[in-house]
Amino acid sequence: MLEISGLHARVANGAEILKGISLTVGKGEVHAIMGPNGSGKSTLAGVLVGRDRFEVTAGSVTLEGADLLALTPEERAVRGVFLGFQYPVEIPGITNAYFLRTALNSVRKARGQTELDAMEFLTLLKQKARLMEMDPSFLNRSVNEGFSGGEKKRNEILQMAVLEPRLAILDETDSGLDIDALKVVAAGVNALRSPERSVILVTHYQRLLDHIVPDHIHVLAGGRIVKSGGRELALALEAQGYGWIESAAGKA
Amino acid sequence: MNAHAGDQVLHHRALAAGLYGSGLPALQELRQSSIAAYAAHGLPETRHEDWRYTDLSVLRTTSFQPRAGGTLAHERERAVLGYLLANIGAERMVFVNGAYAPQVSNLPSVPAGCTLTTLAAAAATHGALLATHLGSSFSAARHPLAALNTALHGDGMFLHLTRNQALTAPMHVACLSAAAETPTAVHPRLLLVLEAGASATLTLSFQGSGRLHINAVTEIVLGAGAALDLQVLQEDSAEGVHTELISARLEQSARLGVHVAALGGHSSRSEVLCQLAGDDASLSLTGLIIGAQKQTHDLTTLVRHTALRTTSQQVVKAVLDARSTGAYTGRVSVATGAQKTDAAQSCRTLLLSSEASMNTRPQLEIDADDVKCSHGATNGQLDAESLFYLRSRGIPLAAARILLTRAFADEVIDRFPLECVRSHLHGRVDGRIAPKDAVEVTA
Repeated sequence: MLEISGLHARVANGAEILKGISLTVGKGEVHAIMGPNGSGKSTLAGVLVGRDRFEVTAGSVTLEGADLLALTPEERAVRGVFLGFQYPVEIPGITNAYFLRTALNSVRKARGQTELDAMEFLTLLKQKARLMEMDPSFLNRSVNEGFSGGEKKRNEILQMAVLEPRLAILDETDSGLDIDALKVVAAGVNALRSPERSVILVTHYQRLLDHIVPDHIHVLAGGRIVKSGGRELALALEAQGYGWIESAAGKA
Repeated sequence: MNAHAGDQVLHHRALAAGLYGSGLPALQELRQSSIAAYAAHGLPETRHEDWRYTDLSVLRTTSFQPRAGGTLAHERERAVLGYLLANIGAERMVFVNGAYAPQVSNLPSVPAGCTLTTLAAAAATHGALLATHLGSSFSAARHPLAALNTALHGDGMFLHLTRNQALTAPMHVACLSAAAETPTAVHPRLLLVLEAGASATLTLSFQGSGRLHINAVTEIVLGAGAALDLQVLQEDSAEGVHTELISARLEQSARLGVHVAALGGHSSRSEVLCQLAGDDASLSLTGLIIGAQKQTHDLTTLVRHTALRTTSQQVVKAVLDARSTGAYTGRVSVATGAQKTDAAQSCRTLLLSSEASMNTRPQLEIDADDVKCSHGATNGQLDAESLFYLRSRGIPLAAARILLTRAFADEVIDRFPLECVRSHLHGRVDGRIAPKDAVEVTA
């Protein structure tokens, strides 16, 4: 599905942040990327979705064989890449429903599928909103405007549910959530797990992984993957913090 | 007065002599005094503070001359009217190059005692009302272009609603203009007199093609408790100059909505004068400025609060692309004793290009102590993070820009009372309706 190989990236004309990342995410797999602040987690997510503030200096990323780095953000979305934002953007003046319909129809049009009319879309949207336990009134409010932190994150997963990506990258989806909101969001993500959909969870804390259990965990430090493993790695991090891995990586 | 100015006066007198109102001495005198005022003050210059952001240079270097009214070429007629009128309503009054075009107009019937007709016809039947109100709401010396209109307007719309009467359906006044081979001047004129408790909703649209100077004046007189909503859709020729004065006086508890969309003209100026002369009178003003290419749009307002508890609310937004320039000058004056005045104005600008610019000037002159006056202005660009958010969901860059632009403009578009006008403005902001569809008028 996703093949990252020897990836180096920096802030445009700035310091190098990713220093050689290689990672393979298979179809239907859930990978967690963990690491301390400043390790490069969000940069990796940003590079995968085409944020122009980052510049790739070496390496490659392919999605089902296609060169992902050559595509614009919207083309990546058409190919099935989705980013759940750490800080979802408020857009006054555009309703959630209109935004999502425009997005879905843009993607469907680019894929040569028929666009959904207003009624078809509304039926779909209401069904997805139930999944996220969202009040339908949210659909007619401006995108994220005045939403609480938890509502914004739920709205991200609602968008994921509507767009049905093949690769979902969830950037710090757990940040700012209380435990109840976290459970709702996690349930939404779990409901969207499928053999056809891969997920990358970017997170600082392991508590999200109690609710969305990953197949693989990778620890990022200093722009490199310094350790990969299974669920037990997250528990070790929870107990001991990142220090031991960083120092072990430094010695290696 | 130099020789050139003297020639100009003679020329204007000759033109005015051929216009309606020869049987109405008051109007004759008004035309002559307006000619003199224009000759004395001339075209406003940018060194004059009030005209600093209005580019009238082409009027100095080019002679724009009135021409006889045309008719719409038959094949264009349906297209233009379709564009303009399909949804705005069947009831309309159309002027082609300033001349009334009865063949494409459709005047509604009005209540007994009320009058909806041309100014030329009203001169014969309502001479006293014309003599009282025409040119009475503004100073010819301070508004020389409006004075030029008074001197040279060939016809126009006259609406008189008597006490408590209403126009039941929205009425559309369309000013269609097409330049002759030589640059052409047109002076549209409206006089709207609503007596106590009367009400109406009007849409005034300007469309044109070629080298035009459209110089319009609308005078509004609202008696106690009268209510008028006026929407102005300015889509004049991209090669032309559009200057316009809307001048209103409101008596007690009267309510005026003025909603101006400035989209056309190479250079445009829309000026709104409003005196809130009666207690509890209120003005709601909306301005939507859309600038493309090298257009300049100037929206200037002067609201005079001269009674108790009057309110004015002005909401202006500008969307400026390419090398266009916008200006909003919002002057609010609160007279001594005009206590409990509530005056608010805001102007927000979206700059779509680094070469576009906006000048915003709130000007408050307050001579009362118990008032609430506020103003705010912001200039910004499309938010990069919002654009990325939309693109990450699969919306192409161009569509994402339009979506955000529309979201910005919606707040003012939503203030236009008629859905058909809102939908039209959405189409212009989205680019679904191209200006060239609008302005191709053949006379």
